[in-house]
Amino acid sequence: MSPVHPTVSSPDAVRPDLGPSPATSADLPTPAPAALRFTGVAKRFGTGTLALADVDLTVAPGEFVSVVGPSGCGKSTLLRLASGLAEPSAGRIELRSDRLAYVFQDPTLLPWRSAQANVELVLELSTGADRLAKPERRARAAAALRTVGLAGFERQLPAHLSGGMRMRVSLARALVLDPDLFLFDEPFGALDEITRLHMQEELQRLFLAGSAGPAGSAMSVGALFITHSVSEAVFLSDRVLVMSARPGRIVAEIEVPFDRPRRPELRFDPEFGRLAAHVSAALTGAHE
Amino acid sequence: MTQTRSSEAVSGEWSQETTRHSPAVTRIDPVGKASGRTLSGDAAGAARARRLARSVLPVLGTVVVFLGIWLAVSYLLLTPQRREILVPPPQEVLTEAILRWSHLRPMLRALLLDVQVSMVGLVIAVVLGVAAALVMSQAPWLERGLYPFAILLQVVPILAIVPLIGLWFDYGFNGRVVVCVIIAIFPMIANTLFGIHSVDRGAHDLFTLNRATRWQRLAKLSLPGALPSMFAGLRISSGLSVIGALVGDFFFVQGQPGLGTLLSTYISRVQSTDLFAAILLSSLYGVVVFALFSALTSVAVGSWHGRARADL
Repeated sequence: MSPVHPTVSSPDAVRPDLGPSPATSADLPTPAPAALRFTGVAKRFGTGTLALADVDLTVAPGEFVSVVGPSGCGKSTLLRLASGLAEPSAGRIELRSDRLAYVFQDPTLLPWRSAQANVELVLELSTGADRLAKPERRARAAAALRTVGLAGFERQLPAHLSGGMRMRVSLARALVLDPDLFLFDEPFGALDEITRLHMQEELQRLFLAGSAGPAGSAMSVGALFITHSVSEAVFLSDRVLVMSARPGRIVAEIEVPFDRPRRPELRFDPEFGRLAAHVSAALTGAHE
Repeated sequence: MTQTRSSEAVSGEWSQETTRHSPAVTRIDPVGKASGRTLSGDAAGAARARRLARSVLPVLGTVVVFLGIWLAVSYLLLTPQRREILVPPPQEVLTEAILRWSHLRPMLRALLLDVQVSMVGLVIAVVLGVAAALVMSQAPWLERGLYPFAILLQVVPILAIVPLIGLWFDYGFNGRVVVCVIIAIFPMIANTLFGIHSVDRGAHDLFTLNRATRWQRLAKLSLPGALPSMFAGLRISSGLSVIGALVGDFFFVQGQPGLGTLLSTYISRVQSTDLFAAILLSSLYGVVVFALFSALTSVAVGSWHGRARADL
């Protein structure tokens, strides 16, 4: 068995002076209850391909963790396992989440439903005691659409929305569940660069808004964010995990100490560049 | 958080997108009348005229070409005696058959019967076909077990079993409806099943993650997702149901005559002008049915499913 957490510490021992450190920094003792924990997880497909080998990872409550890796390294498989859409071939997955939200690579909207009805869908599907009445469902869906900046577009069909707007509807559909853990599968991968940067900032804003605390406070919900963009991972995350090519395994773990909210200009900060270079180096190593 | 820089930037982006998308909202609909959108002003009137011209002119053109070929075959290829029997020219079909009430009346009565038979047959074919496809979609073993029987319905030599159906049911309404159903049901089964299978896998994952029940998945995902294919099947089946009614008539010479019965009579009596009039009438009915269901498709799923428009 490989070491539990092959940790690569922050490249610069001196943390940039950016205010109080996030409460979810990995300085905390690890035995804290994890929202999601993989222990020695492996996944072999029916075809015999080994997609993941011996993966260990933890997402603490309120922590934003990114996974970067070369394409085909099993990043998406990781999320399918976490969400229960797929079963691991070996190892253990602990998920402590009452309300899990999964944001797919594609917006995955039902084309015959309006933006509003697409968001309402996930509320309609819940059965039993926590099922909301229709007016309440409608109000919550409208609120979620407002949150992602789509007020006024409630009645539009997905075909009449742009790619970025469709992704926002998809985000609203995740938000409306009021989740405590998000799973993101390269949600901005298909967007153009400008929309993509916008969405990253919006996403951070949404996460911070949940806590309603002063700037710099911890995020209230956790996230496991899959991406192949190094700068996206560094910008959004508390921690970046680097995966190797197939069979995928975690080969590096990099802390991102920047305070929140992170301004767009942070991307041009030398320290940001140094961290991104560090992640890139780990990725290149993972390729070999 | 309403006044952050990023949200302002975003609102700028929306207004751009509003203008960019407004043409799509009022885009020209092939059956625009059905959608009830009203435009005002001369520009709108001109647009409407253009739209009408675009939809009518090609049809008129085809009709003219068709009549031209008909006339050419009648007068250029055939001697006068053979012309009378093989291909009577269109104006004779008009004057000798269509404009003679004593000739047209039995055809219209026969057509009425065929309309009833084909519509009842189509409704039954749609209900049974969709139900069969839904059952098959519930488990792979059900599909493997049942689909061969659906194919059997498609490939069965209908000419051989039509007399049998007459014996089993009757030679009147019921027997003809059964023939109609057998001929029209396969596209409904095949297309509904195809539609259900082609629903996005990601959407299925979404339903799985939200612990959707089997019923919710069917009602909120599989069925609406399959609608465009179902309507494509319906258009094919509607045409086949007309053929089914005529085939039933043709072989059940007994009972109240349908157009198929008349066709067979006209052939045996060499009443060529009547024969051509009956063929025209049955084709016209087929076209009307097809157009009707194309329009229905456009109204039902055209707004979100581009390819389902009635522009075939």
